[in-house]
Amino acid sequence: MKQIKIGLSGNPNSGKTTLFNSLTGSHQKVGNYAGVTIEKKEGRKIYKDYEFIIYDLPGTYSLTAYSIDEVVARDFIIEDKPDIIIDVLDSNNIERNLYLCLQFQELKIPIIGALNIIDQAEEMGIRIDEKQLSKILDIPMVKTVGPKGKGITEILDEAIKIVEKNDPQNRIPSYGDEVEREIEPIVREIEKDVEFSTTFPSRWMAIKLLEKDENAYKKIEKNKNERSVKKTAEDCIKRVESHFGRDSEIVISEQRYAYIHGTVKETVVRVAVKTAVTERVDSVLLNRILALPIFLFILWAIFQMTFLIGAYPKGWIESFFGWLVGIADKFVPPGVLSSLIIDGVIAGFGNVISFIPQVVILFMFISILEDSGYMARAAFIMDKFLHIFGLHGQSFLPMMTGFGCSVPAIMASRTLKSNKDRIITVLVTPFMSCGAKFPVHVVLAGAFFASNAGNVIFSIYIIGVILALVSSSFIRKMVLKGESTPFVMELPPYRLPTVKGILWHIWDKSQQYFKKAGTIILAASIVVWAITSFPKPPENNQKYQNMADEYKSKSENEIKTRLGLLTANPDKLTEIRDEKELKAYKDSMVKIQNKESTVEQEADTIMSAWTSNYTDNLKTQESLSYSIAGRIGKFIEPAIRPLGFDWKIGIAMVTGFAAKEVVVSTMGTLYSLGSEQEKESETLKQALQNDKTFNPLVAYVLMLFVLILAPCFAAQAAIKAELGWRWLGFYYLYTTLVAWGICFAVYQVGKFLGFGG
Amino acid sequence: MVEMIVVIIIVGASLFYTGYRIYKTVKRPNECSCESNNCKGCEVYKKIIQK
Repeated sequence: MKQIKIGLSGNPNSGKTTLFNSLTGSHQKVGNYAGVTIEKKEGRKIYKDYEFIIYDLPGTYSLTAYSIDEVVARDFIIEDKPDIIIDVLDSNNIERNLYLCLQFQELKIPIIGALNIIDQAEEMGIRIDEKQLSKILDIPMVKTVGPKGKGITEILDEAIKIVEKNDPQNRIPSYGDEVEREIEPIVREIEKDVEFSTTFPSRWMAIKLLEKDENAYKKIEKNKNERSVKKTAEDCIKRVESHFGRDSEIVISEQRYAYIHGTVKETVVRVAVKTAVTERVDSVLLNRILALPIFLFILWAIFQMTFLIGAYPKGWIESFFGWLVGIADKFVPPGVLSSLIIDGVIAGFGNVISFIPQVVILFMFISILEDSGYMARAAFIMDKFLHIFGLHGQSFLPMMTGFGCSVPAIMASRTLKSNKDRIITVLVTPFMSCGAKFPVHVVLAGAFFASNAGNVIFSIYIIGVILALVSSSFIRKMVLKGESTPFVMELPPYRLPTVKGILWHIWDKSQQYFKKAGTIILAASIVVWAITSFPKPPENNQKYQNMADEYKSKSENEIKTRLGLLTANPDKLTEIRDEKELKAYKDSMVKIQNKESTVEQEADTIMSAWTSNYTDNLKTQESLSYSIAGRIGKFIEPAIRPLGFDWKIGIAMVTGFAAKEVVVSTMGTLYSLGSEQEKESETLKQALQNDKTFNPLVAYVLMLFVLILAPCFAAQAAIKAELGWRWLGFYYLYTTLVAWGICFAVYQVGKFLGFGG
Repeated sequence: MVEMIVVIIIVGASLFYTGYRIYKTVKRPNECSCESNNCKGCEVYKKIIQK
């Protein structure tokens, strides 16, 4: 079977990835904003005895590459030399998109033009005569609509035609006599090195040198005739600049646009239509005064809905795991294996799985924002704020990706053209609360801020954004001094997200989450169970007996008094809040009133039950403290005590470096093992509510700590890969100090104001 | 005794797997935490290793 190697290229957000998915049947991430693809992706398609190997390349406006992702696209086209380039042209912005097309022509690689998103263009009154355009440019043009698969077979047929005919497309744009006269001598000098000119097209290289392209000057160093080429290029630049009175780069760009302008005039007609939907919606959503409140309201509403809707399926999953605990309790004899299953696997893995509905709902909403085109507008809205803090709107896109996972977000910073901007964006992106931190926020907010849980989580996300902005300003002023680079934000038209697309996002996210929960989180939960269960402390029954006696003598009189009081005045019952305690008192009171027992006898019954419970708890707590986790936790406890945390929280923070969801599974195991309640009936939420360390203030401080502290190992590895060890070290130091400082301040001030419970 | 052996095997395997995953992430970061092995982070990681 013959192979055809195709490079899919085009401007950012021209719909390349959607077309790629339609061509290859893949499911690469698609977003209605620039910079979704930052690396080339490969897909295959068998059609009419041909195997098409299709590469989806990062979007680029021109072949003068500025950012890393643009270099990826350009190097692939020039050095890997695909058989055909499919240039994906956004039909709504045909002039700007043809600019790249002309540069492809100079590379002498056969091109097929895909007039993409043609349905929207026609709705907006843009009529493109593709046959005429094809004739003028000597490039086959096909009208396509990526999501509907329109034009896919036509593109493949054109590709086969090109390969079978082997008919080169010889038409290249002309830059006018004056410029053409200067291109020629450079071409001649370059072609003196025959080997070099077979790799790099000499005319394209000559134009790049005239444009003063830094990358081209580096590449020309490989030419044996380097000195002479450079000298000729410098002379030609001088002549062009003196003739036109402008920078040669601007002259070349003007000539290209002049050529495009002429072409468009011949082939495109604009019919007057009523104001486009996009403009009408933008007049509200991007309104000078309303834009930010609307953006904040949308975010707030997403968190509210996520919490409200997700609470139902979450409850069902919790009930299922409660039932599973009952089954395990019934069929597995009590012992170490039973503890591993109940306290390790079910408490750890089960707790993380129960957050699937909320995580999926949150990402469904975020994907709707992305696909509709609102996410790009969010970056536009944030642009002026980001400028105040030394960044710009383009940094906000990687930051928004950070709401999902910090790793691709850190990678997405490659789209930034300035290295300083890129470093700052990488360093502040992990402040955006990622999807793995979300379950931690949900469990804590759900346990301590029941009716306001959505608001509390919203506040955590907003604090994350504020911290990212303040930190970027700090780093810009103190470490990486300099102005942020200017950037023009591209606003894509609104597109209605498809049901198929949304369902795909839901399926993809659930699958990822299940996979993560079933592998690293399950394994980490079992390890956490093991280090919290072993070694066991030596048995010392006499010690517990002495402690029980001491407790008994302290409490006996108190219980008798309370029983006596209750017998005399039943209304006092309302003062007892604990349900188990209340039931015990009620039962005893009934017996006393029916003369079946005396106050002393009933006090004894309650006492012995309590004493047994008390000694059991003592044993459990001592066993936890004696374990490996307990010893590590106790070691780090002095450092986190001022934040209101105990050693158990410390352990959860350490294990959370494996993956942030492990914070929840660790707490599940720790509080299940150390629980004072009956396990079958207690969820992690109830266990946290019953724990003495926790109160709303500590819960909020813990959410902040999880938000700010360094992310998981995978994200740290990404920072190291992008910026190196030195910056990773700086990042550790910075986030640890900021996390500790802010949490200390919030806890101490909160306690002072009486929020400490 | 059998119960203890089963527990030791499960814990040992989990410990090995957790350690392996952390090692793999830190030393040879070819998978990101998304676990899908299909996101743009994953792709870039692969590229970095090749370099």
